[in-house]
Order: sequence, then structure tokens, then C-alpha cells
Amino acid sequence: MNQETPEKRRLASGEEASLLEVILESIAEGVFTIDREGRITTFNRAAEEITGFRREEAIGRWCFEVFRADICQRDCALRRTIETGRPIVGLQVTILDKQGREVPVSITTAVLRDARGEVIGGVETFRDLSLVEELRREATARYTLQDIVSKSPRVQEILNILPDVAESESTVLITGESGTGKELLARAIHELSPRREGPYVRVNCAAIPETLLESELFGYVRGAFTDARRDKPGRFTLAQGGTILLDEVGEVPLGMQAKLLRVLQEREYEPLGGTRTLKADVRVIATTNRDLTKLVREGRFREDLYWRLKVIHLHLPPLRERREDIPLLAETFVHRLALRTGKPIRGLSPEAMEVLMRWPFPGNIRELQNAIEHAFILCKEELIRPEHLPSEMRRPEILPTFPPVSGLRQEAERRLLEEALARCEGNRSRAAKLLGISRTTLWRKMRRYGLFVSK
Amino acid sequence: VAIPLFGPFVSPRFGYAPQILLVEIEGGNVVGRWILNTAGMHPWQQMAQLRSLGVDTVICGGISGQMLHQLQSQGIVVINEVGGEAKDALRRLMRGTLRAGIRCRGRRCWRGPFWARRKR
Repeated sequence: MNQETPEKRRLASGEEASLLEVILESIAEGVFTIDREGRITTFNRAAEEITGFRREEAIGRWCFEVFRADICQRDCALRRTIETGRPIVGLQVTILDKQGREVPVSITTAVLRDARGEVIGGVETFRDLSLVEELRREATARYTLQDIVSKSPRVQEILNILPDVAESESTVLITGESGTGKELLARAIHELSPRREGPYVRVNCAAIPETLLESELFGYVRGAFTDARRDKPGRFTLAQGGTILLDEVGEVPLGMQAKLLRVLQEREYEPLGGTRTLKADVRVIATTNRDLTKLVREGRFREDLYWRLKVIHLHLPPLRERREDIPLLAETFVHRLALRTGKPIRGLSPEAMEVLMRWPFPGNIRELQNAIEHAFILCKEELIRPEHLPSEMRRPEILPTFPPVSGLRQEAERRLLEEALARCEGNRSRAAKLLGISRTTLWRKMRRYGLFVSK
Repeated sequence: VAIPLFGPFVSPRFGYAPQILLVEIEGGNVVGRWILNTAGMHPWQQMAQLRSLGVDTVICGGISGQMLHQLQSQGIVVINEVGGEAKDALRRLMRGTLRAGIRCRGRRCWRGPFWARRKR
């Protein structure tokens, strides 16, 4: 009586298919299948959420047009699985979602066969790793080129020359106020340079006591001092073949500056207590929030070291001079925090944005990030309102900020000098004549504004 | 004009194509074609190279927001979300009918999803 009729089989397979569909729709992992040509045949709800494409937009299109992963054009995992029959598990890639955002995902692939065992296509499941990536970034403080968020023409100018700067071996000096992203830029240079496979070593010169700085930078040999029981490599040794970042270089004591100068000039150094000279195959990037020209004038920074460091000079403008970046940065921080905290906050109300646009941000991007984090703690709605922002930002007496008049005059003078030098192709005599000033005055002003032609 | 390639197709993602087709157009005619080998090149290095070659239009299937800003800040026009074969996209560009979000296959081009093509 229990005989299986074709009708029963059809019903059973129909039920099975609908059960499978329910399962596919309820899981948090994105799933899509492709046929042998590579066209999408199934696309579940989670796949829609992660990629931003609706199912009807995705089905029938080539998977590379929808998924747009970094590996699609070099070594497609799904194609490899279909060709070899071997699954790939937990491969980390980044895809481009419909809005043009890069989304890190972990993918797993398998081959699809029909009842006769013939390969009919492949299936890929993928998991959004944005949160994991955000936590990793937070924990390791390792930011990449993709983290530089800016529309400002002054920052864009820097980013435009960044690949050329990175390609060279020249020493780079990055200046800018605290919290403007100097370290981010330094890391981006390393990432783009031929040394990217090598180590990236950061030394915060301000955080290491003067007495320890030499041994930290150059290391020491056994017996160099009472507690030196074994050799210890310095940061220059650890950075061999890579890049060393001398953060807050303006804080390096005068005595140490001479030793640093020698490494930059001769590319060699000796560990503390050692007699052997070591070669430094290291690219040096230095950052500072201090006005090094002023320190040079005051005799607190060696002029020769200053010029050695300033082969290529990049200056990051403070946030108050690139206000167009505030909405973009605020949106980025809201997105990251929503991911990390799981709070359903979508953005800022126009009033809250107005408060941010008025604030001078002496602490720059870091201060903006803190303000958004503060708001996240207080906000129980979908939009951040002014009352969620730190109280000092909401004071009514705060007026739109303008740079001081003296600053404006200096800026105008600097631009005039730049324009004249550009027109005269760097010829100082002609530029001085054009400006109606003597060569000496031009020289003095160029020096004040740091306008010497960098390599 | 620069078109990152994925075989004969417009590359689905700028910065990751192993080759870029460079086309010089003068007075509505193609006067030169070159292939730029970009395998192993960082996306930012590719952008720098295109800038130094004097490219003023990029056609691609997708591009990250950051790279889009960057190219636009250099005065480069980016026609994004273009699908199909590179030669068809180029043909439409020269006719002045190439728009973002357009997909071409042979002589047939359509905007939007796959099913939109079948409705026409």
C-alpha cells in the first residue's frame, strides 16, 4: 500500500524544494548558485542584504557583475571549484556592494551536481565580516588606505601624488595637527611602496624616555649595561627591509638627533655597546605636530636633520580647514559604530550635523570620532540629535569659526609665493622680480613657508 | 578613454583588472588603441598611471566610492556600472549614448536588471 507513485514523488520533491527555500531564506549567510556559464540562478535574502542587489537584479547576470570581488578577475574561487570539483572553505575576499562600499566577506564554494552526478554549476555561501574587520581594526589600530575618507581638494592633492611618493625611497616628513591622520598616511605610503611585504615599525619618539631612546632605536649588545644580559635588536633592525615611522619626531632630544642624522645620511648605525656597524635598509617616514622650522630657529631641532627629513613634505590640513569632510567622516563613524555596537542608528539629524559643522574641532578627526561615540551611548533613536552630542559643542555662543586674520594674510602670502615660483619655473631671481621684492626677502619668505622644492 | 578589461568584457571592478584598454579618440574617430598591463599593480598605482597618461574618461563595471572621488578630483569622468563587452561600450560612448548603469550585448543595450532586457 505504501507504493510510491510518480504523483507522490512529485509532491514530495515539491515539498522538499519549498522547505529548502525556507531554509535558504532564513539563514544569515548569503547564498547564491550559478550555472555552468557563471550566471546566477539562486540568490537568497541574506545575499540581497550583503550585496545591496535585489534578487530580480541579480538572477540571470554573471556572478562577477554582481559580486565584484577582488578575486573575480584573477582567481575566481567558484570557477576553480567547478573545474576541480574541490570545495574552497573560508576564503577572505572583499566585494563591492551596490553602493560602491567595499565589504569584507568570507566565502565557501562547492560544486552542484544533478541526479546523474553531472556538474550543473556551483554554489557559494558568504558571510559578512564587516564587524570582525571593524573589531580587528579597533584592536590592532591598523588602518589602511581605504580608511582615508576625504573630499577635500587639499587632501585629494596629497592622495594623488601618494603612489609616486610611495614608489620612491625618499624620506617623507608628514606634518599636521594632532588627530589629522598622519599615521594613517604613513601606513598608506608603506602599503603602496615596494617595501609593502616588509615590516612596518612605528616608534613614538615622545613616549620613550630620553635615556631609553637610543637602545630602543638601535638596540644593544650583551654587556652594554648592567641588565643587558642578551643582545636586543632595535627598531631599525626590526624594520629591516621595510619602513620605520618616527612618530612625533619633534620630540627627539638634541643629543639623539645627531645619531638619527647619521642613519639618514649614511644608512648605518651601531647598537649600544656594540662595535659592529650595521646597515639600515629602511625607509624612514617621520611625523610631527610641531612647527619644526620654529624649533630649528629656537635651536631645539638640528637644521641638518630637518632638511634630511624633509625630502618630501606632506602637510595634512586640520579638520576646520576641510569642513566638507565632516559629514562624510561622521557618516563613516556612525556606520562603524552601528556595526560594532549593534545599535540601529542610521545617521545624524540635520540639527546635529549643523552643530558639528559649527564646531572648530581643535582635536580634529579624533575629536569628531569621540563626539560620535559619545552620541552613540546616549542615543536611543535612529538619528543622533544635538542633545546626544557632547555638551560643550551645543553651547549657543559658538559661532562659525574663521581662521585668525594673521593666518589668512600668511596663507595669502604663501599662495602668492607659490604662484610666482610656479610661473617662473622655480627661478628665484625671476620670481623675486615678478613679486617686486629682493632675492633675499624671497629666500627668507620661502624658508618661513617651507617652499623649497622637494625632490 | 580607459576601459579596464575582464576578457572581452568591461571589468566589473576598477582596480583589479589585469589589463586596461586605452583608446585615443579624435574627432569622433579612434586614432589609437593600446593595452596597459596592470597585473599586480595596486589600484592606486593604476589611478596614478591613468592620470599620467592623460586619460580623461574611465568606463567600468564598479568602483569603490573612495576611488571614484579620487578619479573625479583629478578631472577624470567615470562612467560606472557599465556591463557587457568593452567594444560595445566604446561604440556607445562614441555615439554619445553611453550612460552609467547601461549593459550591452551585441547591438542590444538596456538599463537595469537582466529581466528588463526581456521586456523590451
